[in-house]
Amino acid sequence: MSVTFLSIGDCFNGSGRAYIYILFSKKFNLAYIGETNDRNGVLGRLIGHVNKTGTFRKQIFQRRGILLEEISDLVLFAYLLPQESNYTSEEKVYRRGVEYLVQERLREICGDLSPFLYIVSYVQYSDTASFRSTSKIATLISENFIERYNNKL
Amino acid sequence: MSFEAIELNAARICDGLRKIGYTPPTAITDIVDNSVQSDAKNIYIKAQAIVQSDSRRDNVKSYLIIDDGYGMDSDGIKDALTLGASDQNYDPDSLSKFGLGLKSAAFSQGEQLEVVSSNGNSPFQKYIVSLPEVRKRNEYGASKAELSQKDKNLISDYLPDKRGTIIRIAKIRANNHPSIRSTFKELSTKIGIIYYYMMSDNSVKMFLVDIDGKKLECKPFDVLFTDEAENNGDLDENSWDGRQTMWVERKREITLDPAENIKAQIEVTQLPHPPTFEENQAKIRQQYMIGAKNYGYYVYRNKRLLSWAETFDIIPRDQDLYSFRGRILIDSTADEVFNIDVKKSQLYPSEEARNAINDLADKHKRKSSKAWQNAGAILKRKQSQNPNNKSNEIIDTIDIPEELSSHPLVAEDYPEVEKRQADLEKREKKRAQEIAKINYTEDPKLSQSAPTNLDDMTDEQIEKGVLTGEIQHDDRIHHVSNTEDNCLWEPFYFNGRDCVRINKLHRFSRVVYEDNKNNSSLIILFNLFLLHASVAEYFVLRKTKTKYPVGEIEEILAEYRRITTDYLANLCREAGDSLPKD
Repeated sequence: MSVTFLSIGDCFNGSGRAYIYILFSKKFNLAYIGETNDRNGVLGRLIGHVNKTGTFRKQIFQRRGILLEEISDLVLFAYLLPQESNYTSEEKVYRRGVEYLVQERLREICGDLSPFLYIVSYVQYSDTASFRSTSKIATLISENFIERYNNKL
Repeated sequence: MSFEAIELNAARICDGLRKIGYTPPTAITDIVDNSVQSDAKNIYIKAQAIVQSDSRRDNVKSYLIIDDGYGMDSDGIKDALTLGASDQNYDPDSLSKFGLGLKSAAFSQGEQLEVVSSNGNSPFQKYIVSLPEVRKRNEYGASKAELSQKDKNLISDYLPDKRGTIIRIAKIRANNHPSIRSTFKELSTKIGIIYYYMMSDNSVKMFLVDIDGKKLECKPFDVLFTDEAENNGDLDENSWDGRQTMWVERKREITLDPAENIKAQIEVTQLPHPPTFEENQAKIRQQYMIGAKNYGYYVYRNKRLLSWAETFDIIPRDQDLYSFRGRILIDSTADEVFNIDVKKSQLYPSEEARNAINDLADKHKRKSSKAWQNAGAILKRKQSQNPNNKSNEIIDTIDIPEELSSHPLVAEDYPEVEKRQADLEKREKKRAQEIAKINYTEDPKLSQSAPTNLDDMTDEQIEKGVLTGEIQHDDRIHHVSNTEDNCLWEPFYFNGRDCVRINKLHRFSRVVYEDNKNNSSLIILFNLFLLHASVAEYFVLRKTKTKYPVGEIEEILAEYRRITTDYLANLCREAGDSLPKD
């Protein structure tokens, strides 16, 4: 019998909230960065990722040739964005700005991490990435992730 | 299991080698690589004509590449002539790769390769590889030869220290071979770019020697014009007027292969926008080499150009990207992730390397094309063709009625209208302060001139903080990068008039202003529609007779805008490419 312990906090709550999340597997050296304002938070978004046509499922297969079912050590980091309409509204330009900067930073240092990481998500540049506020949030997220990853979580 | 050696067909191998796609300039520069590698201080490229004319096709007798590098003795020459020359002498930052360059480059142009060399410790030696001889014998090899008088003259003219190497490609094939002038023209441009790093630190000088013996020194040429970018700073694509070279991305590291931790350096500049220079645009195009074949990434391996304006199938063919210049610097450690062909002019990045470049390229493309469009818009404004300018002009020519016949006001209504107007002006003044504060904080360029106390700004400072980018004092339609609650538009009372702030970052705005940038009619009508939606909102707040408190109506109208904004964002996401475009 295998037991999975999962601490989900309140990342199922997407009401008036938005998140940047990072999914990663150390065994397969891969990480996926995304953003969501899903009504059911990051957990709600995850359901979309693991279904047949989910982007995460698709990307890990296309970019690394790995089937989602092969991954047994998936870890999820969820970062709550400021609860302001810039970040929580349907228009994702601000969330995308943060997502872009986090991915850019992780791409930069993915070979220096131990173990190294392949970034399997694709991100589009958003004009808000040049804003100081988005840059500040992205730095907090990426540095927190790097610190935790290097300290074995 | 036994192993049996199988003979090589020397003649066919040599014929195959010569057909891997060299042009005269690429063949010559591949041989120049060896000269650079041999620590030469001076390299001369010389062509000899059959008849004394540099403009005639099929008129090249031989090409000579002469360098004063460390030279070779007999064994060194024979090693250099081996197919697959030894890599024992290749240092980690070598320009050489397969030990085939000299032979394949020479045979691609001529039937005979001659090497005359001395390392200074022994007399000059000469070896000749003749393809007719190889074909006749079906055996690869070189003949030792005596120095001719011409060889002796070349040594005396170009190698005063009696050390160095002369490579002669002789018996040039006359099968539509380009003229010396056209080859030299291409070389005179490209050599300065290919060897930019070596030439700019003065470690090597390169000369083209024409058929009259006249020397032309090639100068280093930085295709990114980084000195200019360094003086001008970072690109703000929303305000760039197209006149200066700016940084899109200052030099930074990217990881090409996380598993091997292979890195590259990448930098990107935005060159001037030629149409901005109007009658001088041809000069600007020429000066900065702006054209369809020259934008993209210039990939340098060990500081030698490998690939010219590489697009990696990532950078599309789009005129809005003409000012985009990128450079990727790799060293030999990246050879496995950038598969490089024998003639070292084409490369094929691994999927991982391509993904890494692709993510960054998305930023480069977006900033560069937006900046190009912005410079075009500024030019059109100057020429009175800018649709946003036109929208403001149209609105200036009409009277927006203060009363509507459908909503008549009587004398006793006016005190209430005036009170509401006073409240509105107070609220909107506060809003203008908020907007200025956000712009001074968020905009890296504006923040340099931000007032010390953003909570206590003068009217002048507020106006400067509100009128960002291309917005003029009298404009009523403002295209901005932030609105309250990230709405598509918001009404704004400014300069004593009802205005509108349109969020140009919203996806629906991008469909209108970017995907349909050539559709001026659509843009003008969209601008005027949103201005009138804002004027109408103010009308309701000032003049509608209602039993509900004005504050509640204002909140409902704001909610209506937020919901419209969300629906339009959803429309763009769901409909995506099916929305109309230019």
